[in-house]
Amino acid sequence: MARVTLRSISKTYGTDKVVDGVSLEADEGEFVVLLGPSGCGKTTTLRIISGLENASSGDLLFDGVSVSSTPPEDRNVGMVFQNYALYPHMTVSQNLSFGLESRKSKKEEIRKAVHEVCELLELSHVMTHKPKELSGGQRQRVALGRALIRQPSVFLMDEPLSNLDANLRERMRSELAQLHRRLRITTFYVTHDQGEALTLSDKIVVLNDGRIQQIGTSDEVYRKPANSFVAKFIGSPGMNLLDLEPLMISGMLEHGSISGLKELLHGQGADLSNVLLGIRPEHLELNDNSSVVTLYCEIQSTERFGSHNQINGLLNGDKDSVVVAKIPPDVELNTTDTVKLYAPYRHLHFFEKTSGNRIEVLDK
Amino acid sequence: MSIGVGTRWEPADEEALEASLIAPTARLGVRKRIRTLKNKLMGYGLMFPAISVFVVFFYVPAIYLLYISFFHWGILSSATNFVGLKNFKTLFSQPLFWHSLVTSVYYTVVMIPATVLLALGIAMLLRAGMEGKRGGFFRGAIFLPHVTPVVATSIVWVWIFNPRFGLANFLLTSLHLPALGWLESQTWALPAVMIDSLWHSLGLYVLIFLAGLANIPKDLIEVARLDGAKRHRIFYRIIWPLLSPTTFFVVVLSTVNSWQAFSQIYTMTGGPHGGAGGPAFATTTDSLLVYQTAFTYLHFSLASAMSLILFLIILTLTLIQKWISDRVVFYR
Repeated sequence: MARVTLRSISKTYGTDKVVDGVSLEADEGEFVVLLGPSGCGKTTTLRIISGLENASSGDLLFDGVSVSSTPPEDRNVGMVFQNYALYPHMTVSQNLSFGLESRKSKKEEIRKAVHEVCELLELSHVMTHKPKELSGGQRQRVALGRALIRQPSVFLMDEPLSNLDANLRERMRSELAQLHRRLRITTFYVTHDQGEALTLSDKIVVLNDGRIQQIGTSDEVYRKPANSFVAKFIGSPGMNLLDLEPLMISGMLEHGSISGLKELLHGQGADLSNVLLGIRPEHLELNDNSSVVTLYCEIQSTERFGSHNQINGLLNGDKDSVVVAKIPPDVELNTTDTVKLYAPYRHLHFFEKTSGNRIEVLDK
Repeated sequence: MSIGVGTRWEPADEEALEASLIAPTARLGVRKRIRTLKNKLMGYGLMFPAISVFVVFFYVPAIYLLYISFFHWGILSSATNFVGLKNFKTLFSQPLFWHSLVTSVYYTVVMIPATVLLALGIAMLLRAGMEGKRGGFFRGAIFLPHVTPVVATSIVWVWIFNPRFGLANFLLTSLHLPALGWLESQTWALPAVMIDSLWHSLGLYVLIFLAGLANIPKDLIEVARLDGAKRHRIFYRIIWPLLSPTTFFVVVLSTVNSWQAFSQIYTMTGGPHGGAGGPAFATTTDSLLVYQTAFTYLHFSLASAMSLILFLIILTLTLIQKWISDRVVFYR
């Protein structure tokens, strides 16, 4: 297990800056998830850690020692690829032992390690099978086993669950979590699935356009998004972001709170016309329980999810202000109905419109 | 027919009714059959040009060749006598026939590994270092010799291998190596032809290997590197096994081409001026001897028998290769 430090890592292809000054640290045994939309630079960052890609600038350290110029074969990292990348011409046990043979381990040790990994990952009955004879879940486990068998100091996973169907993905996710709890290997996990990120991680690194947007626990990125991008990206669906000033003018914000809010925002040096109000869909309610925000929404569509219904509406019928809310499944609402949606004070977020940065005004 | 009030029902009418009911169905059946027939004829008609070319230029000569190899057959005489296996017996008693077989084996045994090693080596280099436009240029440059006419380029190679003022000996002497007799030497004439053949055919094989290499996912190489494998190990444990279908194809193709090599040998060692296959039959391969037996010495039956043997050799080799490939080649 190693402590991994990235210092201002950048990667440029031609004029395209894919990773832009990424600095972060993963403690020994920590599970770090790199989360972001497609093309945000998360896979490139992972490949830089593995050594398959060289950073254009910056430094990478394992346990305080720079490994920037160490070739991947000497970094002792294990990696699981999105499509598993199993050697198709080798059996499961050959796939597993390849790495140890490459490092010239003793035959007896290899045999023992293969058996242990097969037992750990429930692969003992398919050891002589070739990858094409395995199910998706088994392939996934072989890929995991191949990376684990060498006892790597850093474990890298590039969207390892994205090729599995929904049920299997959930099962493998919990297996991964268990495995990590047992082995405590420093892990970097790339995904665009926030469900995976929120459940697996010790630490989430949200990336966009090659830059880190926020580093924090799953609780932090959900409850205190550092900027409007994180607010919109985390959560399913993402946070509603509405211009604050029109809401104040149209009286959708409770009178009593307006003056206080104005003061607080001014205190932060924020210009009211440059502030976005953020409310998560799950925090909008149909009942008024000491709320400070009341949104008048014209319903455009309703989607049923079983556990809840999701309504998509327009604020005051304005086509540019879409509001999404999660409501209890037993409430029947029709399209074109106008509903009042309430939000309590503690669930409000504020962001600067131009920079997107969070404005910390409320002690929640 | 109408059945109105007061009209008596007559058996004749019943038959007519039955006929009128059956008739359309019967007509439908006939129509369907005609349509099927039309479709079939259309299909055969469309295939006819291609099939006829194949039959006229491949099956008829092949069967005729088989036929005349059992006869004494003269191109000018109409007298053809059935001689059974006499042509084959004559062949087997001729030292030159055995010599030509040995020469063909020598040629093939050198050409196959040389082709595979060089083509694969160049393909690996092209893949590793030359992507984009530069790669396109080099791929084109490597493939170019293959699209040139063999006879024309072989004449250039005759000049290159000229012992007195040729480029080959110029290079050898510049490297302080002894000059060689090349096409005038019994030892070096066939290697000289091999060099020309390799140069001419390599582009095609490089292209085939490049296609094979492109089929190996990059992830596998990367994961092998992370597994701690060095270059040579990645090559012989990952690339080589995964490339085996391509290698098998190249081996089969170059075997057939080597056994059938003719134009370059004919042009480089004598051509129309005579004396091809020299010096002292050093470059007389089986296919060259077939040609000379038929068109120089006009022993068509013997040449046919020889062709048949050549065909059987290539067939056997291909079957052996197939048998080996089923055990060695990995198909995904």
